[in-house]
Amino acid sequence: MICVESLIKKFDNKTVLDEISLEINDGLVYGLLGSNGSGKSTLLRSIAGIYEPDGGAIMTDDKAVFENADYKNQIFLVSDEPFFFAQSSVNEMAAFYRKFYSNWDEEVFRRLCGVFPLNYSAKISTFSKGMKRQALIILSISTSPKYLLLDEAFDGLDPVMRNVLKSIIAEKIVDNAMSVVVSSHNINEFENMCDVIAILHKGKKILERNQNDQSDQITKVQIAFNGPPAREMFGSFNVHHYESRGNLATLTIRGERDEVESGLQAMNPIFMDIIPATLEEIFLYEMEGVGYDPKNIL
Amino acid sequence: MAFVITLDLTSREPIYEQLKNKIIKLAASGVFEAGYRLPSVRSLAKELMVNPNTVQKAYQDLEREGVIYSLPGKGSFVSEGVNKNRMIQNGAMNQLRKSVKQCVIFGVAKELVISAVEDTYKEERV
Repeated sequence: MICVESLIKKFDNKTVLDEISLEINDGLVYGLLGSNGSGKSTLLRSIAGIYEPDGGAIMTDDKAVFENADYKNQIFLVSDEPFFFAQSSVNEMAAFYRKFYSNWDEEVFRRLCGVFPLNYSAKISTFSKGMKRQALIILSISTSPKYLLLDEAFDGLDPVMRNVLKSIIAEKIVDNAMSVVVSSHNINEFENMCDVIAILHKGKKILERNQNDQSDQITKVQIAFNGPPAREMFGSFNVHHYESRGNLATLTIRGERDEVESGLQAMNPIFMDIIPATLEEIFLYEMEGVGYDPKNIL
Repeated sequence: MAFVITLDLTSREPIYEQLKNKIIKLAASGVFEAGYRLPSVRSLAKELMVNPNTVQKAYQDLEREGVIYSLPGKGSFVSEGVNKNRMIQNGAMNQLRKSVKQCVIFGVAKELVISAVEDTYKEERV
């Protein structure tokens, strides 16, 4: 597990990360969502032990992660700007990483080389953007990391490669209890991938949501009765948003979906439509709730 | 291994609910017989390209509801008599009530609804 506690990071006088706290549990996928300049990459580099915190701490097994050699052996950051040695090939980069990562898995490396169709002895500098990303992803997974950090990792990968990557990640989560921290500015990417999702905005974590928490489901409901409804009728539900026109009420309700549905059914409506909210909608509701204008963030 | 579970990634229904419902349907209809060994969390997550924790959660729920059982080190298996499972029967009854309600709203005559129920039972009983 990695614990980020009130992390502050400044460059010159600019505060890029402002008291961020979060926990990355083993075997989970943690998504960082935020617009450009929200601090995602800085946070990932801090978690990777590259940047030294200016305040707060990042701990693993009760030790700070900054320049912690044991920890670095277990972590791999797939940066948004892949770096390779000049003139090097994938095979040469593999030889380099093999020296530094004690858990390097040659069999996985060979297998991935078969999956991603790249020329492994050609100079990486001749690769396209997407091919460079593929190369770095192959290398990262071959180091058998306990923590895989992906900075906009799905950017530049075509849909087939995305699915291949998701498959490989699924396998590693089960086999090695690998944790993944992935950043993106695209919320739809996260919907079916992440266990926990946090939104960063101007260096602050403004929301965090555990997707596995069923009591935290949000449902959109359209419901009608004989006669105009009133908000008070839904007093036993956790109503987020209420609107009514004529006999029809539109609500968003928080809570376990089955319970919400049977509760509403018991009110004997003449019409009812229940739609699970998408992740995007959930975040829109929640951000309004904490006083942010979602248009500026997502 | 080709696997029969497919997901609708564009649906609003969460993946784990889709998974649960698919397995319940396949088990209750006998496509998966009692004792059928489900794919491991690992291979199903890999196959469907979804987060393994999602598959795990679906399996846990199914086990709690008695649809499947797991043997440590061996895997997860379909339970005996899934189609007689009270929870699943209740779910089906809820669906029926909803549909009947629709019929009431749309003004379908009660006799038609009842005869549709009887016909369906006749057809299914071979």
